[in-house]
Formats: sequence, structure tokens, C-alpha cells
Amino acid sequence: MSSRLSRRRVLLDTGAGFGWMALSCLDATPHFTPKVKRVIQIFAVGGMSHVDTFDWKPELSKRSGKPFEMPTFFGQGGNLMGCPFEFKQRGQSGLWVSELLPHIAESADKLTVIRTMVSRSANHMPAVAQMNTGFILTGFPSMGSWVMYGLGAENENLPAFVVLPDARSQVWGGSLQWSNGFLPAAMQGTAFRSEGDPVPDLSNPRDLRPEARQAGLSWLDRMNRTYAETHPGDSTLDARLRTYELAANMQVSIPGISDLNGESEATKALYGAGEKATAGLARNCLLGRRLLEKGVRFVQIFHGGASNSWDAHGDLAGNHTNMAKEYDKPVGALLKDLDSRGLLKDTLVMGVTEFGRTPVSQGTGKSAGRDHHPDCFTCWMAGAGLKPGFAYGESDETGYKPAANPVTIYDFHATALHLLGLRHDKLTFYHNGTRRRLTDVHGHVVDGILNV
Amino acid sequence: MNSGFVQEQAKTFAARLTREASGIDAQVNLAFAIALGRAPRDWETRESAALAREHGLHTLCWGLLNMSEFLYVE
Repeated sequence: MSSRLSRRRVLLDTGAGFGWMALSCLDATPHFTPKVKRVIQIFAVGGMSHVDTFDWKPELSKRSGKPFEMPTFFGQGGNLMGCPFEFKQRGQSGLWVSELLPHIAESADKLTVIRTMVSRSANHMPAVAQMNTGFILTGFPSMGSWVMYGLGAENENLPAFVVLPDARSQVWGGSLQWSNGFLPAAMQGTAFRSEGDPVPDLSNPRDLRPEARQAGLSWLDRMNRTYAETHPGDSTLDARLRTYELAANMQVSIPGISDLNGESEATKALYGAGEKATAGLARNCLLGRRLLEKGVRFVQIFHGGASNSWDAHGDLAGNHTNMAKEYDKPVGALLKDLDSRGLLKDTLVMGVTEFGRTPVSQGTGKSAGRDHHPDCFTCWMAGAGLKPGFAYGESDETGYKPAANPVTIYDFHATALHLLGLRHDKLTFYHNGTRRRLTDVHGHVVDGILNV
Repeated sequence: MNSGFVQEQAKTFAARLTREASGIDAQVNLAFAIALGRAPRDWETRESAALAREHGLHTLCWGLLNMSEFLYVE
């Protein structure tokens, strides 16, 4: 090997190596007492319409068919289009939720709805990236990675950041959306498969005897350790070593978690596990709850992907009816299930989407849809530390722009980190000459939704 | 490392070593040359030969295919 004094070598020898950093943050501690210990995020891929789900706009219905000047993504903006669904006030809180989401509405008194979300991109891939990483360009660490970096793992036998993609199609950007970016490689999200074994090739190969495999692994460990030592500073090598240890532990822990047969029939029915429309998301929501119970720090569930999503450019009513049918029951069940098991006391549930949809139609008649709308949309949270049964922010009378209290993605992230006991302006990682943050140079904790 | 594909490759690799070199040490040398483009260090030869003797050449080949050094080009 070379005897050159490399920059990496100097860093390592002076005690500032990145491998040390990776290890040190596996048992990191929060900045202050957290309200929640773990997060489960459900991503409605494609752009869920705010004016058809959580943001009731009677004026939009009243003015339906009237012209309205606004720029749209595809430049085919029609006239204002009223919501085709009925809205009702729910629970004690009287939170407005449309008929699309009856099961979620049953937990209205647990929800904190933010009706003035603002994103920076009207395009799927960058908008999804911003919701996940804070940046519209890819290559930045995702929120799950930041949380793992800030809080470490609770269970050494499972990945701390697990992603459950939609079995039918991948979200725009695929694994970039759960990338560790420049954070240590051990902090990237681990995507489970939605069918068959959640982690492919987790079981031992049949034609390698266990003792041969064990001897081979111990040989491999010595080889890889030597190699990592001669290449200090490359976190992918440390990640590989850790991955082997984690994989061995996961051989024991995963089968128990992914086997949903132990769940009662009542629970499975609650999630809609046996119904065609809901089976896919039900499986992921159930699996997500089980992972949280075992101490997984951050679970990210995608509902929809590039080829089947909430992206209702045409036939808004049909698209959102179908998507909501898949989404509502499992997510509603997850809220109730977490609550009844006491997990909602220290878990943050986040219902997110990359943007909303325009108050004006795209196309006309039966095939009328809504275009991408990043200027005003709705996300929701549930969990400790939040005002329950509460709607924050007010959009203008057509749901076009926030009328008061806009919430950027940076603010949203800052608030989520705050609930986890992390200061978004203190959770930094030095990269390329800059102390990088999930919130870039922006972000304010949204005090108005906190239950203090 | 557990996939059927890697198992197959390891066996094929081992068969080639048996065909092209005789004696464990020579096979270990050839294995390192093919997989890593370098000669093994003394301790590597010792440990690799021991692994191959005890658990078969394909076990060593399986290990080589999973080495960081094999998977990451400098």
C-alpha cells in the first residue's frame, strides 16, 4: 500500500476521521427533551388535492366555472372547479374532512392539519425530493437519514430507517428519495420489498454449509477490516462492515416482524388487509407499526408511485376516489391502532404529499382534472406535542395561496425535528465547506401547532 | 452475498482455479490475481489457503466476490 500522507490519513490521525463520526452518531442524543421518539411518514405520491380532502372551500364551489387567472404547470388552466366531494365537520374538534377520507376522519380529533404548505417545485421529482430532503436537487440526505444521524438507532438488530415502497411502482427518483446523501452511508434508508421476503436474499444460501459460511464470513471480515483501515475516511467501507453485522442480526429479527400472521383477524380487518383496494397499503401500514414497536426510528411508506398516483391531471373525481379508497382505510387504521397501543404518545405520524392541486381545472367536462399546485397545499401530523384536532393556517377563498401563516417545507421539517428534540439549526454536517442542514439556511418551528 | 447468482459465480470461479493452477497456494495466488489484480500478502495466503483447505475453494471464491476491495475500484 502507498506510504503517501494523504489528506484522509491526516484527518484520521488527528482524530477527526469520518468513521468515528459515523459511529459516534449511532448513539447520539437529542438536543433537548423530545416529545416523540420515532416517526412514521405516509407519502401520498403524485400530489393529493388539498381542496378535495382537508381544505374546504365553499367559495370555490360557488364560483365553479368562473374564469380565474393563474399560471399552471402544463399551461392548460381552465376555469375554477368546485370540489365534487362532500365535506363534513368531524369529531369534537369539528375539523373539516371530505367524504374521501371517512376512516381518517374518525381520528380527526388526533390530527393537526396544516393547510398552508408551500413547496418550491411544481414538478414531481424535485417536489418529492424537497419533501424528503429539503432540497429540490437530489443528492442531499433524506429526513430519515438526518433523524438517524441526530438520534441514532434504538434497535441494533434492525435498520433505523426503513422504507416501504408501493409494490406497483417506484416513486420518482427511486432510492434517491431515501438517500443518505453526504451523511455516512450507514444512514441511508433500507427499502423493504412489499411482496415475498421483505429483504431479498436474507436467508443463507442452500449450497454453502453453515460452518463454511461462518468461516468465510470471518475471513471476509478480516479482509474488509484491513481494507477499510488502509482507506480511512471512506464511509461506504465502514457501512459495509456494519451492514454485514446488521444483516446477520436481521436474519433473526426480520422474519418475526414481517410475518403478519400473528396479527388478530380484527386488526387485519381494521387495516383492510383482505380487501383488494387496500391490501397493499394495509400490509405496509401494519408492517410499519410492527417496525415502530421494535424500535425502528423512521418508517417511510409510499402510497403510489410514478405510474399510479394521486396525479389527477384528468378525471379528478375518479382518480381521487380510487386513490382515497386505497389510502383512507389503512391509514385510518394505523392512527387508531397506534393510539390504542399507546404508541401515539411518543410517535409522530406525518401525512405528506409533494404538492396540492390547482383550484382551476385542467381539461373540461367529465375528464376534468387538476394540475400541480405547490403554492398552497395540505399536510397533516399526529402525535405528542401537537395541538390535536386542529387546523393551522388559512388558504385564500379558492385555495390558491395561503391567506395567512404560510408553512414552507423548511418550517415543516424544523417542526418535526423539534418534536424529536432536535434543533434544526444545530443538526449540521460539515460537507464541502458548509455546515449542511436539513433546512438549508431557512426554517422556523411552527409554534402555532405545538401543544405547549 | 446470499443470492444464487453469487453462489454460481463462486463455483465457476473455483472450477477455473482448479483447471488453471495446481496446489492450494498457486490457486490462492491466481484467485487474488484474477479478482483483485494483485498478489496476496503472506498472511492473506496463509488464511486463504486454510479457508480453502477446510471449506473448499468455492468458499474462498465466495469471500473474494464479497470483498470491499473487489466491489470498490480505487
